[in-house]
Amino acid sequence: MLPEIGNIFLIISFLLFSAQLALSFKFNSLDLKYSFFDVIKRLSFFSYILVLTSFFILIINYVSSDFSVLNVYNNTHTNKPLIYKITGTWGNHEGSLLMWLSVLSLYGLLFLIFIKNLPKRFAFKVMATLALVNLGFVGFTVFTSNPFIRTFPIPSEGLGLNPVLQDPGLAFHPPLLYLGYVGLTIPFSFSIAALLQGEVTREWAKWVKPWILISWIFLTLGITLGSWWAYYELGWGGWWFWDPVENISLLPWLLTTALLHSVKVTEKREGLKSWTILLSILAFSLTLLGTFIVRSGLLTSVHAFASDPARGIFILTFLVIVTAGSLLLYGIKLEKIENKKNIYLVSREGGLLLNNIFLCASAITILLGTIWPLVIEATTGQDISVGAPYFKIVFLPLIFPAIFLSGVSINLNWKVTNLDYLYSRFWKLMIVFIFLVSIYYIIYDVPVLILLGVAATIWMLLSVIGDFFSKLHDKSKGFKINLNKTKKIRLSIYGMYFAHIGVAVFILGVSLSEGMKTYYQGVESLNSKIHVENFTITFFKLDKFKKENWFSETGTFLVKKNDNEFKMKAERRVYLDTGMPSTEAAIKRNFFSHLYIVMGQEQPIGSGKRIIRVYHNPHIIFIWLGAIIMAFGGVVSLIDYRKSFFRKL
Amino acid sequence: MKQKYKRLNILLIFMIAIGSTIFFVLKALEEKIVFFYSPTEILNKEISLSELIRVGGLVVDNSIVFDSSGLEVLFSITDKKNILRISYKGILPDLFREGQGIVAEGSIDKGKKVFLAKKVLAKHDENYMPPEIEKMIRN
Repeated sequence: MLPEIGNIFLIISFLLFSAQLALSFKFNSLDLKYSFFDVIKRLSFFSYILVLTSFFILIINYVSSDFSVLNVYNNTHTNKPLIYKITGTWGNHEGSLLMWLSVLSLYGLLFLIFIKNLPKRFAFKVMATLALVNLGFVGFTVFTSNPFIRTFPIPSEGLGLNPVLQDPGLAFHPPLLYLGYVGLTIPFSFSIAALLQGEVTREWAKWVKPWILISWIFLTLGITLGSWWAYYELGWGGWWFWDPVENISLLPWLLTTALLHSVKVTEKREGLKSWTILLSILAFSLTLLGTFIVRSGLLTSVHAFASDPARGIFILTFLVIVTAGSLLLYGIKLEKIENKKNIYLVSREGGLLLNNIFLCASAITILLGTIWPLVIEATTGQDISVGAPYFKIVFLPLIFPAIFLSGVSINLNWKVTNLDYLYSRFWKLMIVFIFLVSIYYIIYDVPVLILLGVAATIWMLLSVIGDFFSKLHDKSKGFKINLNKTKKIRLSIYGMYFAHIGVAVFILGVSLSEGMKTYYQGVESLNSKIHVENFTITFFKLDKFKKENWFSETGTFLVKKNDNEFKMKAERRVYLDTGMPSTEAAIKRNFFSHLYIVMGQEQPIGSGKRIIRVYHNPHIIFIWLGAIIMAFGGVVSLIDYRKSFFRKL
Repeated sequence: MKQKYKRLNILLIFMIAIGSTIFFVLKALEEKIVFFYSPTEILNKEISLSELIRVGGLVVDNSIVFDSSGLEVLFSITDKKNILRISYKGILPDLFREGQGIVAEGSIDKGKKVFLAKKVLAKHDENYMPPEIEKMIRN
C-alpha cells in the first residue's frame, strides 16, 4: 500500500505544480491580491510536502526490505546493516532522482520561510520559476524513472547494493553534492524573476547572495568528500581522475565561484549586472547538463552506472527548453538591465571581472574536453577519449593567472585605484614574496612546477595578510597597527580571507603531493620486504574470514621507519550477496602525508603471491583541508548575510 | 568618442583572449585525444606503434594467463568477430573477470600481435557496459 501512496503523492504534486504554473501565467498581469498570493504559496508548500513524504516512504520501503517494489529488489539485500539499507535508497538512479527532487523541495520550503523579506511581485515570479523546474523533475521521475513500480511474483531476496557504494561515503557525498547542485535552482529562479521584472538592483544582489553562498558551500563540501571517498575506496592512490562525472561537478563549482565574485560587484557597485544574471543561468544549465550526461550513459566514466538512453532524451529536452528559454528571455530583456556604469581595469571590480574571465575560461576548457568525445562521435563516428593529460595542460595555464589576479584584486579598492596607489601597495608585498619564494627554492631545490605551486600559495597568503594589515592601519597615528580595528572588519571579509587561505592550502597540497609522490608495485609473497621512501614494509600476515556481509582477505603489513614501527591492514572483500569484489586500501597518516597500501588478488592463482601497490603521498591532506577551509570561509560569510535573510521588508 | 574607443579596446582584448584560448584548447585536444578501436579495427587499420590508443571488448573465457613472476598478465578480448591479445603489468581492476566488458589503454606491438596495456579499466557496476563496447557488439 505504501508505495502506491508514494506514487500518488508524486502524481498529485505534478498536477499541483502544473496548476500553480498555469495560474501564474494567467494572473501574471493582474495586481497581486493578498489572498491570491497566499493561495499560490500554500499550493507550493503543499506540493513540496508531498514530494518529501514520498521520498520518506521510499526510505521506509528500503528499511523494511519490501521486495515487491522493483527498485528495492534491485538495490538492496536483507543482510545489509541498517545504515546501508537507508543509504541504498539513493544509491541508484530512481532513488537518487527522488532525492534530487526532495532536496529541491527542501530549498522550496526554505524559500517560503524567507519569502516575507521579498517584494510580492518578485517572490511570485520566483515561485513560478521554481514550479517549472519542479514540474520538469517530477515529470521525469514519475514517467521515466518511477521508483515505486511493483514487481510480481514478489522475490524473497534482493539483489544487493554495489560494494563500492557500501560505504559511509554514500551517506554524505550524494546528499551534500545535491544540496549544492539543486541549490543553484534558487539563484536561477531569482535571475529569471529579475529578468521578468526587467530590473536588477543592488537589493536583488543582496537577496540572492546568501543562496549562492549556500550552494557554493555544499558544492565545495560535496566535491571534496567525493574526492576523499574516491581516494580511499577505489584504491588508485589518486584524488582526482579528470573523469567526465568529476569534471561535470567541477563546472558548476567554477561558475558558482565566478558568480560569487560577480554578484559582489553587483551588490557594491551595481556593476556586472547582466553578467551575473547570465552566470546564474549558465551554472544552473550546467547542473542539468551534468545530470543529462551522467544519466544518459553517453560518456564512459568510472561513475557510470547502468543507464537508459530514453531518460537522457527527456533530460536533454528539458535542458534545451530551460536553457534556450532563459537565454531568449535574457536576450530580450538585456537592454533593460544593461550596466550604465563603466568598470575601470585597475580597481577591485576590474580585478574581479578579470578573475571571472579566467574562471569561466577554465570552465569552458573543461566542458570542451568533457563533451569532445560526443562531438567527435557525432561528426566522424570515431570513438575517442580525452584524459588527464589534456585537462592538465589546459587547466594549469589558466588557473595560475587567476590566482595571481585574485591576490592583486583583494588589495585593490572599489571604483578607481590609480597606478601610484597600486605601486605603493604592492612593492612591499612583492619583495616579501620574492624573498620567501627564493628561500624556499634555496632550501628545497624543487622542480619548476612545485615551485610555481608553492609560489602561488605564498602569493595568495601574502595578499590576504597584506589586506588584513592595511585594514588595521591607523592613518591618524602614522603607521601603527591598531588591533581594535579587527572588530570593525565585517564577517564577510573574514569569510573571504578564509576562503582564499583555503585556496592557498589546497594549491600547496596539490603541488607538493603531485610533485613528490612515490609509487611502488610488485608481486610479493609472505614475509617479503618492500622499500618506499624511508619506509620498510614487510608483508607480515594474510587472514581469511567472514564478516557481516562479505568474505574478507586481510593482509597485515609491518611498517618500519627509523625506530618507529606500526601495522597496516589492507583488505580485499568479496560481497556475499552480489559476489562482487572490492579493495579497501590501508592508509596511514603521518602529519599531513599518507602511506597507502593496496593488496590485489592472488596472482598467479595458487602461488600465494599478491600484487602489492604502495603509494607515498606527501602533504596530500592539505588538499582536503584547504577545501574545508574554503567552505568554512563560506559559512563565516553566510553568517554576515543573515541580516538580509531575517530582515523584514 | 573616447568612451567608444575604450569599449572597442576592451572588446578587442576579449576577442583575442577568447580566440587564443580556443586555439590552444583545440590544439591540446588534437594532441591529447585517445582513439578507441575494436579488435577488428586494430587488424584492419593503420595504427602507428607509438600512438596511445584504447581498445575494448569482452574478456575471452579461459584466456587469462599470469607469467611466472605473477606481475604480468596476458589475456584476450573479443568483439565477437576477432580476438586481440593484451599484455598488462599491474593490479587488475576489481571487476575484471571473464566475459566482462573492459577497456585497455596502451599501444600496439609490432605485427599487431599483442597490445601492451598501460591501464585496464573495468567499471563499478556489473550491469554496466561501456557505450563503445555495447555499440561494437551491436554492430
